[in-house]
Amino acid sequence: MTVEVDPYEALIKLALADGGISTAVSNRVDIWHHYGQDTGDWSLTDSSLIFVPAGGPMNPDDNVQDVLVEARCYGDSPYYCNQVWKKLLDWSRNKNERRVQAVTEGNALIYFVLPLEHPRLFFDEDIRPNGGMPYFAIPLQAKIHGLTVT
Amino acid sequence: MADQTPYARLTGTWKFWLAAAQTAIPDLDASPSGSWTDLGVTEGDQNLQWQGALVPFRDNDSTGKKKHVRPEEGFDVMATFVHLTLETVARILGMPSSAVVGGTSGALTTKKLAFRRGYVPTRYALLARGGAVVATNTLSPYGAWPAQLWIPQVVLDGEPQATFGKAGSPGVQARFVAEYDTTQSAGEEFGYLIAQSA
Repeated sequence: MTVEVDPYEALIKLALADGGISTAVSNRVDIWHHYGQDTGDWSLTDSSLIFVPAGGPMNPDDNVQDVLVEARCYGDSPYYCNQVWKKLLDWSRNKNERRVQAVTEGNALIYFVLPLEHPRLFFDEDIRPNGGMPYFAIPLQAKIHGLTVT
Repeated sequence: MADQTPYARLTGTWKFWLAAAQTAIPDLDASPSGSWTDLGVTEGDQNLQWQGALVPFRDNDSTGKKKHVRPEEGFDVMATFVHLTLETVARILGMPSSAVVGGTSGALTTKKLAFRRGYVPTRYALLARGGAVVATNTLSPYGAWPAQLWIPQVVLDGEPQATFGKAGSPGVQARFVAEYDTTQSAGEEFGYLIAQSA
């Protein structure tokens, strides 16, 4: 059973292709954050969307990748976290048709991306010591086929 | 048999419309016309059910079944609707669209739907597709392409109950039963499913 598609890459590229999300976070979508002080790092006031891999059920007989991710909507304040979350909600829940997204290996087929809960507010002390950078955390479920499609 | 592709896994939900019985099916790449009433969002699972159990025949030479026939058949569509305008409820319950009567109550403008459904249910045509337009309708098993199902004549079978609660919104469970429409082509009396294939 060949696995061609990286489901996290498919999620990131699908999110980057969404006009609403790119309005909120520009191109700052990844599976880990790039906040820092060095050249090229994201500014500590920038919004971003991070998909942290968080497991998911595995069916060894099926080439479908049922992945769970913790979607983190970072922002300068909870208000900006919510601006990202609103775009994430629209992109995931309100556009529930199957979608094809170009990835490194070809085209990925994404069956659905669905938030499972409403957000929880956390503060990331690793990014901003003494108070933390706020982010909304949302468990997100996605189903993506392991094979590329035409 | 052709290789199965990831597209054949039909994840997604249907949207439903009703129109006067025997209203023609719209083209796959066209939006439903104003004749079709959008029934709004559904909650929970949606079911398509092919009915018609087989009856086997045996002869004296064999303990096994030699032939099967299907003496009865039908096709049902089930979903729970939660957008409960009176116009939607009237159609789901098999009442004519004229069952919703405009009027006033005091200084307020009103619409009224009587509870009695009557002896003969109103027939409707049922349309279901993944989305109203091609871009959101990707239920074809051959690609990220549109698909739709159409039944020329359905009635609601059942006794729906809408449950109200502080933490929930009522839904009307509907079982649309296809009626055998003799005006359709042979084999299509219960309607059909059609999907873009190339």
